[in-house]
Amino acid sequence: MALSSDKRSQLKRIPIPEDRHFKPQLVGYNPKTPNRLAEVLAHSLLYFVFVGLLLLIYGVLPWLFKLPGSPLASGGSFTTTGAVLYGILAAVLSFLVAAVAALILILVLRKYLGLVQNRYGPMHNGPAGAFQTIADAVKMVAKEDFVPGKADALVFTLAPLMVFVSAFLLLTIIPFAPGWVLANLNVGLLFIVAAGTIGAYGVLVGGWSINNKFGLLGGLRAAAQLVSYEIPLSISLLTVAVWVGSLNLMDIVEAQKLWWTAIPLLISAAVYLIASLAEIKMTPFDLPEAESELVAGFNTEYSGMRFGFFFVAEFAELFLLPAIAVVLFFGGYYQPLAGFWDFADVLRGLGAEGSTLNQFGGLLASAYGMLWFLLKTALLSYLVIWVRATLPRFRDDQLMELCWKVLIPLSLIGLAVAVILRLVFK
Amino acid sequence: MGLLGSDRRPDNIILGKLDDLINLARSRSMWPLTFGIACCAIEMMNSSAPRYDADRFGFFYRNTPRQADIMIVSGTVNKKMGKRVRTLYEQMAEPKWVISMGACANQGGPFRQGYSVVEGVDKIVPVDVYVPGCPPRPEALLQAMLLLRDKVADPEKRYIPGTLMEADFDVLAEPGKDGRSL
Amino acid sequence: MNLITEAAKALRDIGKGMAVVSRAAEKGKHTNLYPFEMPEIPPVSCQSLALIIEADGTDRCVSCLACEKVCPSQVITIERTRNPEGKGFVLERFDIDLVNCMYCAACVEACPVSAIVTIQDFELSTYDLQTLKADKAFLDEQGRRAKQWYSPKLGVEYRNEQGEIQVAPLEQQPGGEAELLKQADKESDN
Repeated sequence: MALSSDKRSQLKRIPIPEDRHFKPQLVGYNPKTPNRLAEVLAHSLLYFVFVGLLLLIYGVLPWLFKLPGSPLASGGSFTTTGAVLYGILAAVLSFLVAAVAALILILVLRKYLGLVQNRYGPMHNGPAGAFQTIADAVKMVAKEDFVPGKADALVFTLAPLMVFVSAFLLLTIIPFAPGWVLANLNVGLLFIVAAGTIGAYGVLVGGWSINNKFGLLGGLRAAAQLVSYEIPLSISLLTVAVWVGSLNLMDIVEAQKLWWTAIPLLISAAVYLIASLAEIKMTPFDLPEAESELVAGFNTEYSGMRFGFFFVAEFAELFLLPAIAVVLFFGGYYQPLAGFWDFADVLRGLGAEGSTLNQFGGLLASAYGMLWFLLKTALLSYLVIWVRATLPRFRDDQLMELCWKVLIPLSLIGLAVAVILRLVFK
Repeated sequence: MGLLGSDRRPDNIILGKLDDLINLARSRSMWPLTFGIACCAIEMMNSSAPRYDADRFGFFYRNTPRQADIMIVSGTVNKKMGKRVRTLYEQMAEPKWVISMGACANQGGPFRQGYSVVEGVDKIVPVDVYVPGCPPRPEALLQAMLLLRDKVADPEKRYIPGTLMEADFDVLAEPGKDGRSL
Repeated sequence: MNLITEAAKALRDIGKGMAVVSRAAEKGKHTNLYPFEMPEIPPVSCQSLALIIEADGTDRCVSCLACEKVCPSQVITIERTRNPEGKGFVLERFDIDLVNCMYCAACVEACPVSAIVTIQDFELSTYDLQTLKADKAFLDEQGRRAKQWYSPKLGVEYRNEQGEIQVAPLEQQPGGEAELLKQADKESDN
């Protein structure tokens, strides 16, 4: 085996660098020496930004616009200039709201998956990993953006925007507190269905335009899944409309001051939650981007910020669909049993009618309602993440079977229950 | 790659600082490609399992090369596989880095005189960090990832994209096909 | 009716699964925080190779070429000359190509004088492959830096505070605890 001695002397000796040992720098947060205060502060930073943005859009901006002597409002409502200006500002800020919601939920998902898998999850970048998703976002913005040679460039560019806009539109109709809604539509429930469907188009054409077999399969699966699950989702929305007698989301929340809709319409609420899981494309229903089968499904060829739009839209929907569930079934911005005693009424009754204290109390009451709303939404989002950490993925035929053989009959039963209850009690 | 160009700008504080910020974000969020070739891939999988948990540093495996930042070449690269490695590398979006894991990927290892083996993946793609071992421990791979993190985050040596090296395709010529004997 | 009972059963099963998942969080973290906390690696594990120099500064290595002959990857290169003053050889070059080495420790088993040993320093990742072309100075330094090392002939050894080499006590040797238990059994039998 060994080389002969003359051959050995021919082996050339290469100069060896002086510095041989490279140690990684010990930078980053060390959980062995925890700093609980920094952890709490850093983790609540994004939450404060989120709540602050919402307060800015719905509370502070309208108050500023309606200050006495302001040219942007007259008699308690916006002038045309004021409405346009407010619309533009609110749209820009709502974009930030959707993005911050996605950043929060991605971090929560990764930390929670770490927790149930007995590991840490993001930990060293920022106190307890608080700045991980911010780094991800900055990196994604700065990453190379390109269109594959054989892709349909126009559709390829439009698809992520369609998906994102579909999530973004849902944000405009959610009432966060009494009067705190960007578009108080009379056909709110119909708008939910309409806006949600744009997302299905986006995923389908996104998967198709990249001219890649994995993308096409992912897109087709997404189309089949999203269109199928629209049906039980829409029927459960219809159930609420039948029970309350209105399509306006504000009216629906007002009707739940005493009892949540979920109490009589339990079946519809369950069907809505399951179907919204499929709309979010979360794990038991993540066939469109099934990572073990189709490389990354419909977003196989997307890089950088285009993929970021898909990602942000997915996690913004993880906030928005539970938010709609809260509006429809779980009492919206009312605290539980608000019909008996409501702290918001106490806040509204502060000071004399029309005084500054009274106005401030009204603002506080709205903020109090918004906090209840966000708390309920957070609990439902947590439920979705919990399901994601538990269940494996459905097979394609099982997915369709669940929808057509179980959920649609169940939602029809729920509708019948709602009709009967409505005839009996109202 | 600086977002705003690759040259250093010692005079321009704002753009220089922005470059530093972007490099910091890049170094803290490196997504490896789920790409295993041989036995080293088992250790690569382990490095993100609960015992070692690469996700602590933001190493989050992505399945598609378009969204990945680093490629971990984990195993013997033979001439047939070499073409695929090169293709995957070219499919990744800039900025991108390569970690060569294990003796085989470094210089061919025990198979280095074989007729079908590429003796070192750095003949095909530019490698940033090498991990010796056969196979290396998951900690050794983590060390390599952190060395890469330090390299990218270092404001003194801002990451400058090299001209994409031409692959030594002569290395990849399959035996028997170009008249060479097996 | 069948539909509703089946749906209820499925929901109950999913609830059971979710309870299992939420209970998993109570088991604590299994993670080894590597750069902040070094892992404990058993001494028989071969993470890197080192040459041992005795406390008086002489090499243990006697240039017998046993390791070079046995190396399956052929990464060891040794050059030696006859000792002009007496028996044996003078070691002129001892190189191990740690890049291509597959850390099988066949050389450690073959070494008659336990000069080449396994150490547990796994932090060898590098920006430059040339740093891993180990020459004798590098291997000697590895031996000086190592807290403990292992060879099959002498077992686990370490350097004490005076710089002398000591063999670790039996309970620190691999398999030592089992050996002690066996001895205790024999004594109790007698």
